[in-house]
Amino acid sequence: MRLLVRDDVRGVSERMVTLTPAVAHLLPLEVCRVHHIIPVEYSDGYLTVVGTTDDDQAAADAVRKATDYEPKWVIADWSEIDGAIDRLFAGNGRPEASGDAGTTFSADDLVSHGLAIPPRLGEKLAGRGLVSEDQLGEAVAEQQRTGGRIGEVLVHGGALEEKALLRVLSEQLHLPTIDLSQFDASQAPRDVFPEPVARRLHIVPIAVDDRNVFIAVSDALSPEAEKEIRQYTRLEIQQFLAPRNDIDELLRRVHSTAYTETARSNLRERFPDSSAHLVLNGAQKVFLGIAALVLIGFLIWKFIGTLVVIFALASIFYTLTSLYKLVAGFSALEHRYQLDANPEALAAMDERNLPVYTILIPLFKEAAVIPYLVDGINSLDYPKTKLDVRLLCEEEDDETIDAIMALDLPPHFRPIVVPASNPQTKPKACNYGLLGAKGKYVVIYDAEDRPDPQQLKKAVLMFENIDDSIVCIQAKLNFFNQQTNFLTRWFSIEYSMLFDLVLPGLDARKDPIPLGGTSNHIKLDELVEVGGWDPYNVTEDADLGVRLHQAGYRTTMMDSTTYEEANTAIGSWIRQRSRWIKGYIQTWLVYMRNPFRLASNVGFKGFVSFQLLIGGTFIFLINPIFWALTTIFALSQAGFIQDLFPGWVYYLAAAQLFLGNFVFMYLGLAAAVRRGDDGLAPYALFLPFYWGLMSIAAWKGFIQLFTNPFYWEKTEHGVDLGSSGPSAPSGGTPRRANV
Amino acid sequence: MVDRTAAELELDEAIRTGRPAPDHLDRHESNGIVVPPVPEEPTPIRGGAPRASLEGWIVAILFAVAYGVVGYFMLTDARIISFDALHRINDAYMVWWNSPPKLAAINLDAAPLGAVAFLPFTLIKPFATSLVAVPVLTAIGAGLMMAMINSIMRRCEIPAAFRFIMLLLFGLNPMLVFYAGNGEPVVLGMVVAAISLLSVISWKQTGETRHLVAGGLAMGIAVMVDYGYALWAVGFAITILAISGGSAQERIRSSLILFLTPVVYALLVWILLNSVILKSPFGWITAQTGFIQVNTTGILQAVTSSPLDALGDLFQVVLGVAPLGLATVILLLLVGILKRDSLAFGLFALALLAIAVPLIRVLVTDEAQMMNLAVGLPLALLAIAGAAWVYYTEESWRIGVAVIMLIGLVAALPLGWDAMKNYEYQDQAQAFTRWVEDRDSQEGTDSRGGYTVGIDPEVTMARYINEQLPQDKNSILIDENFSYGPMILSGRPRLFLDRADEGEGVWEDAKADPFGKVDYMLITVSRAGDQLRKEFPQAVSGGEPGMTPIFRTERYVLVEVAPTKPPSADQQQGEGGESGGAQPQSTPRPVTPARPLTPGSDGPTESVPATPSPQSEPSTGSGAATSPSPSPGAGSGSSSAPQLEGE
Repeated sequence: MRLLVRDDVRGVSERMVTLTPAVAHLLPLEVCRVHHIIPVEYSDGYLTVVGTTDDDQAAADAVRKATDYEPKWVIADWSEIDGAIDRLFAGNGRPEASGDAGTTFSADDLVSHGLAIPPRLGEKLAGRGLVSEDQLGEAVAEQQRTGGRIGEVLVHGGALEEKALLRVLSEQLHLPTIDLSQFDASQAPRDVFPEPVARRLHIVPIAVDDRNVFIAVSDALSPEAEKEIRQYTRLEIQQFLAPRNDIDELLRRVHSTAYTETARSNLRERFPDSSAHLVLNGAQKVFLGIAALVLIGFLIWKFIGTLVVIFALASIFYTLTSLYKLVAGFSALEHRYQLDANPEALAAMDERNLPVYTILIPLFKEAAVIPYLVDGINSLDYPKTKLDVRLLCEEEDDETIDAIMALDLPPHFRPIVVPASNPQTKPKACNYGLLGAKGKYVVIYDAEDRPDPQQLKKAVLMFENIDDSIVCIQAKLNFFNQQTNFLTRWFSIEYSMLFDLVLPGLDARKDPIPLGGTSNHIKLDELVEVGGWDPYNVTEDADLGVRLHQAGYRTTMMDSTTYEEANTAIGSWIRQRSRWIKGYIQTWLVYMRNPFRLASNVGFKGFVSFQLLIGGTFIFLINPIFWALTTIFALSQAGFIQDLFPGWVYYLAAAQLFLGNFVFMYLGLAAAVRRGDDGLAPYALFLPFYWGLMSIAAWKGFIQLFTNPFYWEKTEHGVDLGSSGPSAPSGGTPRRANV
Repeated sequence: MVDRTAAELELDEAIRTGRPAPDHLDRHESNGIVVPPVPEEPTPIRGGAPRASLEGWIVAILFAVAYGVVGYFMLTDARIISFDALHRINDAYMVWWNSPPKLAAINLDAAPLGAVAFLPFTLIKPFATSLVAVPVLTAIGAGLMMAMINSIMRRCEIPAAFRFIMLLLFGLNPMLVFYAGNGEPVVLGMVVAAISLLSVISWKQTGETRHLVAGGLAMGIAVMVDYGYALWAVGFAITILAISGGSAQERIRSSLILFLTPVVYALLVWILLNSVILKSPFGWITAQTGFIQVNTTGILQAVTSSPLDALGDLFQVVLGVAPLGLATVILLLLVGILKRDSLAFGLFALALLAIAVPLIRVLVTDEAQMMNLAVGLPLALLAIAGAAWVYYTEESWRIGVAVIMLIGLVAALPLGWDAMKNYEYQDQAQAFTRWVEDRDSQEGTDSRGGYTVGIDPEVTMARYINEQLPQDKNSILIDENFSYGPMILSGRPRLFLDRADEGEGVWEDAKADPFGKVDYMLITVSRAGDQLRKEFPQAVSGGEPGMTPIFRTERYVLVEVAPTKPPSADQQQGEGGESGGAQPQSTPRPVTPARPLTPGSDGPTESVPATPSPQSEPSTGSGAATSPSPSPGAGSGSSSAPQLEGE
C-alpha cells in the first residue's frame, strides 16, 4: 500500500511512502487510531511516522512511550491515514493478511525489495536507552568473538535485564509475553505433547482450548519445531514469550513427580545390578554367611594357623595395594597428559564454535557462599551465552534459594529446586539437574570451588582432539586453604599425591579412574547412556568412573586444577572421610556382585586395578590392627605375635612397615613440592598421624555401611572463606553435602 | 614448578584468619568473602621423560657382560673371591633357605644393602651355592653405573664419539674391572651415587622436582650400601643449597627436605633396628665397613695410622685410582669462582667431603687399612662427573677439559695397575694383577693385605659336611660371622645352628653348653674372633673334653660334640679318674663316611686330625715376599688383634 505524503524534513514537498503491516504494528492499533498516525519506516534510531501534523506533542509522546523511538514526521490527510489504518489493521486487530491481490507482506519481503530497513535488535535496545552505546559495542565485539546472539550476550553479560529484552523481542516477533513465575503448574496441560519434546525444545504448554494450544516459548518456534509439535496436536499454536529459565522451571514443576522419579530410580530400573540401593544382594549374603561360618570353623579348629593365613592374606593384599599405588605414582612422573592444552592452543580456539557447557552445582545450606560461587563461575574464560549453570537447591533449603533469587543472576545461572524425596543425596540432585541440561558436556563443581579459569576450554579442546572413547576428563583438585592447620596441610598433600601422581598414573596405565568429587567433565550423551549418577552411592563419583570404564569408555586426566576448601576440623573431616570410605566399599560391593562379569567387561588389568584401588580401601581397616600388633610386640616381645608372622608373612609385613609407609609419605612429599606447595613439605613427614585419622574414619564408615548405608555425612563449606562465611547449618544434622 | 611467593602466603594467611588481605595482593572480595586467587598450574612434563634410552641400555649390557665374564673367570680360574662377598651372599641365602627362613639373617653390623642386593640372586639355589651370583651381581651393578656415567656425559653435551672413548677408558680402569666382578658392594654404592649425581645435574638444568626425588632416593639407598655416603648426602645438600641460592626460603627448605628425607629415614630405621635388635643404636657408626674376611690374618688390620700417614695414603689412592680427580677438583673450584657456577661449587664441596670419608674412617677406627684402594673408586666417579660438568659449563674450555679428561683416564690405567700391585691396603687386587699377567690359578697364594687367596678350604669342608655327616637340622653349631664360607657352599644352612635360627639367646645357650644340643661345631682355625673358638680355645686342637676334631681344612675344624658334658678334670680327679692332667681327652669318635671323601686338589685337609701341632695353624701371611712388614706388636699371630674382629 502506498501513500502520498509531504516530507518537510527531507526538503521534498511530496513523496510516496510504502505502508507495511510489519512496520505499522510497531505502534498499537489504539495509539494509531487516537492520534491518526501510522509508522512507515525505521532507520538510524528514528521512527518515521505519518501524521496529520508535525507538532503533535501528544502523538510524539505516545510514539516514544510505545517504542522508545524518536519520531520523524511526514504529513498526510487524516482521512487517508484512517483509511490506511483500517486496511493495515483489518480483522481483530491483526495485520491485514494481504494488501494488493496476490501479495503477502513480510519484513523479509520489505527488506528484499529495499522498501524498509528492519531495525536491528542492538540498535533498537540502544535506541530505547536500554543499553549504552559502549555496552552495545562491547556486546557486538563479544558476539563477533563468541558467536552468540546480541540480546543474549547483553543479558548474560549483565548489561540488560532479560525481561526488557523479552519486551523488545515481543515487538519484533509480534508475540505476546507471559510471566510464568507465578503460574500455577497444576493448571498446565500435560498431554499435549510428550515431555521430552517440551524439554528439548524448551517450551511448555500453558493452556489449551477448543481451537488453540497456548505455549510458552523462549524464542519463536522454528518451522521444524512447529512441524514436530503438529505431530502431536492439530490445535492452533499460540506462542507466548517467556524467559527460558522460567519455562524450564515451569516444566520441572509440571513434571515434578516424573523428574524426581527419574532422578531417583533411573539407574536402579535400567541397570539394577549397578545400583547401590542394596548393600548386599542375596548371593553376596549367602556367600559371606558361608565364608563367616567356615572362618569360625577354622578358628575353632586351628586358631593360630587360621590367623596366620588371615594375616598372610592381609599382608599380601596390603603389599600389592601399596605396590600398585607406587607403580601408578611413578608412572605419573613421566606421564604426559593426553593433550597439551597450552596457552597457545587455547588462544587459537574459535569461541564461536564452543559448545554449550552445563555446570552442575549442588547446594545445601550454603547461602553465604553463593556470591563466592558466582564470582568463581564468572571467572571462567568461557562465553557466558554458552554456559548452562545449574544451581541445584533442595526444596527445604529456603535460605539458599532466597539467596540465589536475591542476586537476580543472569540467565546462564539457573536455580533448580530439587523436590524433597529419598535418598536426599548429591547424586540424586545431579540427576535431577541433568534433566533439561543444554550442554554438550557436563561438569560438577562445588559451591566454594575455584576452578582454573581455562578449565572448560581445556576440556573442550581435549574432547575434540582425543580418542572418542574418552568420555570423561577429570581435572586435578587441591585446596586453597592449605595453610589453615595440620589437617588441611595433610589433606592438601594427600590430594596432591592422588590427583598429581596416582590418578595421572592410572591414566598412563589406562586403568579405570575413580572420579574425584568435582571437576569431572563428562559428555552428556554418554553420561545419560550409562544411567547418570547412582543416587544411592555415597561416592557416586568413584562409582561413575568404574561404570564408564565398564561400559567401554575411558576417563583421562586434565592438566588443570580446581581449588576447593579443605575440611578444617577433625570431626568434620572424619565424617567426610567416613562417607568416602563407606562409598568406596559400597562401590566395591556393587561391582563384586558379579566379579566374572566385571572382569569380562574391564579386562584382567582393569579388574586387578579395581581390586587394588577400590578394594584397597580395606587397608585402612587393617592398618590399626597391624599397628597395634607392632606396638605390642615392640613393647612386650610377645611370642604369640611372633607366631602370627612366620617367615614370608613377616617379610611382607616388615617391608610394608619400613618401605611401604616411607614410600607413601615420600610420594606425598614429592607431590606437594612438585606442585610448588613448598610450605607443605615439612608436614609430609608427619603423614603417618594422618593415616591414623583415616583408619578411624574407615571404621566409622564401615560400621555405618551396615547401620545407615545411604546416610550422607554433611561437609560444611565456606568455613574458611573469611569472616562472613556461611552460618552453621540449622535444624539438626543436614543430610547431604557436596563434596 | 610454582614458587609460592610471599604475597601468596600472605594472602593464604588472610584467608585463614579472615582478616582483610593487603590491597596489593591479587584478590578481591565478594560479599565480604575473601576470594583466593587460583595459583598458576605446575609446569607439566612436556618431554624428556626420565626413561632409559636405548643407548643407555646398550652401554649397561655391554659393560655388564664384559665385567661378568671377567668376574666369572676370576672366580673359576683365578679362584679369587672376596670373603666379604661370601659373607653377604651367605646372609642373603639364609634369608630364603635357612630353617626357618629369616630376614634377621641379614647382618646388622655392616650396611645391609650389599647383602640385600643378593636376595633375588639367591632364590635359585645353584646360582648362589656355585657363587656365580657373586660376579653377576656386581657386573650388573657396574654395567648400570657405566650407563649412568654415559647419561651424565650426555647431559653435559659431550659428543658421542668422545663420550664412548672416555667411557671405555673409565671402564678399563683395572680397579673397576676387579671390583665389578668380585661381589663387594663398592660398585653398588657407585651405581646409586652415579644416579644421584645425574639427578642433581639434571635438576640444575631443568628444575624439575622428579630429579630431586630420584637423587634423594638413590642417596638413601647409597647410605644403606655404605654409611660413608651419609657424608656425600651432606655434600649434595650443600650443592642443593648452592643451586637454589636465589630461591625463596621455603623452596630451598622443601628441596632439601625432599632430597634428604630418604637418607635420614634410612639412618633412623637403621638406628631403630640396631637399638631394638642389638641394643646398640649407634654401634654401626664405629663398626667396620665390611665383614670379617676369614682368609686374612688380621695382622695388617692392626696397623694404626696418624692423620699425616692417612693423608699420604689417601694421596696414593687418588693418584692410583682416580688421578683425574686431582685435576677435577681444581677445575671445579676455578669454574665456581670465575663463572659463579653454583653446581661447580657444590661438586667441589662434595668432592672435599667424599675425600673426607675414608680419612674420617681411618681416624675414627684408627685402622690404616680403612684407606683401602677401593675408596678411590667413588672418587673416580665423582672426578669424571665433575669434569663433565666443567665441560658443559664453560664452552671455551671444552677442548682443554676434554684433553685433561683423556689424560686423567689414560693415566689411571698404569697408575691403577701399579697401585694394585704395590699399595699396602687392598683386597686381593694384587692377586688379580698376577692372574691377568700369567693366567695361573691364585689358589693358596698370598696377596697384599694379608690375604690367602682361594676357597678350597671352604669347598672341602662343605663337601665333607654334605657327604659325611647326618643331615640333621641345627646339628652343627657355628659362628656364622666366621664360618659363612662352608655354610653357603654346603647349600644347607638348615644344618647349622646360627644366631638367626632361634635368636641370639638360644645360640648363646648352645655356645655356653653345646652338649646334647648340637652334634658338631664348626670353628675357624685362624681367627680368634670366632666366638666358638673363644669359648672353647682348645677345641680346634682336640683339647676340650667331649669335643673331638673329626675333620680339618686350612681354615676350619669340624668338632664332634659329645651328647653329654663330660666331667671336668677336678671332678674326674675327685672321682679317682685316670686321665686327668693338662692333656685333654682327644680320642675322636669314629665317623663313617657315606661315601669316600675325595678332597682332590682342594688344598690342605686332614680327615681326622690327631694331635694338634703348631704347624697346623695357618700361615699368618707374613711369609709372603710381597707382604708389607707387620707393625710392631702385630707379629705374634692372630691373638694380637682380637679386638678388631667385632668382638
